[in-house]
Amino acid sequence: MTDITQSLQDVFREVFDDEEIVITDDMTSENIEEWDSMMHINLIFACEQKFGLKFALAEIASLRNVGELKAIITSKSTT
Amino acid sequence: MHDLEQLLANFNPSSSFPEQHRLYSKTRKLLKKGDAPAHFTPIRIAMIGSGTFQAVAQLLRLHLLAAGIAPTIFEGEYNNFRQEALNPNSALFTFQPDIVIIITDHRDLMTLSALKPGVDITALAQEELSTWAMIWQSIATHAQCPIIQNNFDTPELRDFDQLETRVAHSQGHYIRRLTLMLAEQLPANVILHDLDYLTSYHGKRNWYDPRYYFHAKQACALNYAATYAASLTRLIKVQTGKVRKCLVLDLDNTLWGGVIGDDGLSGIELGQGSPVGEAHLALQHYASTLKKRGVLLAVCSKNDVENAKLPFTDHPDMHLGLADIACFVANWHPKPDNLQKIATELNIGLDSLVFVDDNPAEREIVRQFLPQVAVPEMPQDPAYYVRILNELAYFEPLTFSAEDGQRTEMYKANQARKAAQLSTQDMGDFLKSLKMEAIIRPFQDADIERVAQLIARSNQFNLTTRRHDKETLERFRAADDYLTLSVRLKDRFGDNGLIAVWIGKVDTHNSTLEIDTWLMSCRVLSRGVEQHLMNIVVDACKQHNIQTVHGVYIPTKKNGMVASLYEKLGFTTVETTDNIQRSTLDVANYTAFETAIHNC
Repeated sequence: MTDITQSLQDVFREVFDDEEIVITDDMTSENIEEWDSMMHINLIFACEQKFGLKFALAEIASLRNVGELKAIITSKSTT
Repeated sequence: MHDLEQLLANFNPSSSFPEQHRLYSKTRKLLKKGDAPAHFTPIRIAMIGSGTFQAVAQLLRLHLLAAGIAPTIFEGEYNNFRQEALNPNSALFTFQPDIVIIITDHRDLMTLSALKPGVDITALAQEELSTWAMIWQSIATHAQCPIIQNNFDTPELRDFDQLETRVAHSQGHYIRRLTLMLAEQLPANVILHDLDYLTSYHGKRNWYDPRYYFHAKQACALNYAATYAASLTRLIKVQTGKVRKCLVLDLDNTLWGGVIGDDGLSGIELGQGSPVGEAHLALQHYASTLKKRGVLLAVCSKNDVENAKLPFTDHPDMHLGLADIACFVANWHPKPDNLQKIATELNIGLDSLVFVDDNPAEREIVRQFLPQVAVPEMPQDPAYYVRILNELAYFEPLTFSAEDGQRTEMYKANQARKAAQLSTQDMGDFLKSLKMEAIIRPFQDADIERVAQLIARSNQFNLTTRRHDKETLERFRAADDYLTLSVRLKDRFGDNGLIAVWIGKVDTHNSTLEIDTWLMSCRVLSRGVEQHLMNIVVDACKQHNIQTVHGVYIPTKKNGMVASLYEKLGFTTVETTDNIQRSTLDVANYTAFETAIHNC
């Protein structure tokens, strides 16, 4: 597991208060019961804090799954 | 201890949003398994508004739970507050709230598009306010409960850059004018939440995150949801009678720099000429401002009392004087014992105290032994003392009346009375020596603020603890089937002000009266005021042809002192359960009590 995947998994576990969550790239809001629009914002906010970056408005609105989230974080972390 | 109390024992209201949200989720899980502790105050809160305020609602729940209040929260639909408030059959009203919070901001104003050169902005503001008045009126009619309404924040954007306030039809100028008019015209059932202060204080560019606003019309950036919730929580606490009344101050390194016992009068740092001394002086000025608005000040210091008082009497830069301190305790006993002593002397609850001390060990021991006392975590640097206390706003007032400014003098006069009592052998002689004069009359215009305040604050001598708001009180005043009385009491030590409130509901058909509300300030206990008032009530009953008086006692954690009041006054108890005790009095058989109080 890469550093980013590990950290992102920590974020998911903290935000959803569930120590058992294991993230996969194709995971979506369908897979986590509590993942509603409010939790989506919480998740984005927690990622911003954890990785020290900012998502663009279009990215917040268009994110579909964990893989896409990871890709954005990776691209912003390496630049 | 209940699991929930355990979970929230070390709650830090200024921790980060993710941290607080996680804690919120944990409280939700606990509350799904079982109820909140029985001694928590239940309250039904309806939140309606224009944007997305779910994050604020969730943290509000958390902050209220941490304050011992168990809320049931109704969250209105997205951007639907007008419809919800104006439709008598809406879910808002089916919910039957105890309080309605309207989460709006400047973007919800309907008249902004009419701003153009030459427009009469006062008339326009009046038109705007009338649309809000309709909302409040509808809530008053269909929910009959208080409303917390955001005021209108000046926007982040300026229409005219630095010329903004000079151009009357700019949004900045208009909204400033509107905010003042709103405050001046506010109906009695509406409490203002100062959103404009919050957005200014924290900075509008921080408070609003344009991404979250465009994404979901978020009421604020998520890292300010806690600030928002904490600010609303303070208003709700006061509304539910959870009021702090007394600021207890340590002396050495709190009110002045250094240690008076070691450094002496010339060695302590205080006042102009020393930057640190100015910081301590600023705390004294802040305390003095609180005092002028009715907060009692007390001193709790580990010192010889002569040393402790020396700066108050002899230091030229000292702002506070001994006369400002309602209760002065300096000795070498543990501080929890002394705080207990202060509460007893002032006749207020430990949960009315806020204790300020620079010493972390003293703060910790007080937190351990007296968890009811609020103990702010003070910064190491005295430069930040005032800022921290101002942010925590422990003494949030809902009203201000002229009497508030006199409170310290009243409490000090009370201590003088106690001293006189000790030197008088016979209680009857003592009471006569007080030369008490009472004014007892139906609520007057000028009394309503103070009556509402007593109703909001009194916990101990309070038979039913019904927290009627100002609007309800106005309704009682006007209604034929309600009798209202307030008592003002003067004696040779001074004016006690308006100290008792009584409301009776008349049933003409059955010639009966039920005492809806009876409460009294504890500073006039054991002086025959209750007997005197009962005499007056019975006289009034005779005038109104009432034959039977029903007394109701609703027990709470704090009003045990009046559990047998009606019995003492000659009532017969007819029903006693855990939740209520009912008594009746036959007016014809009442024998008036002898008291030492004269009517004037």
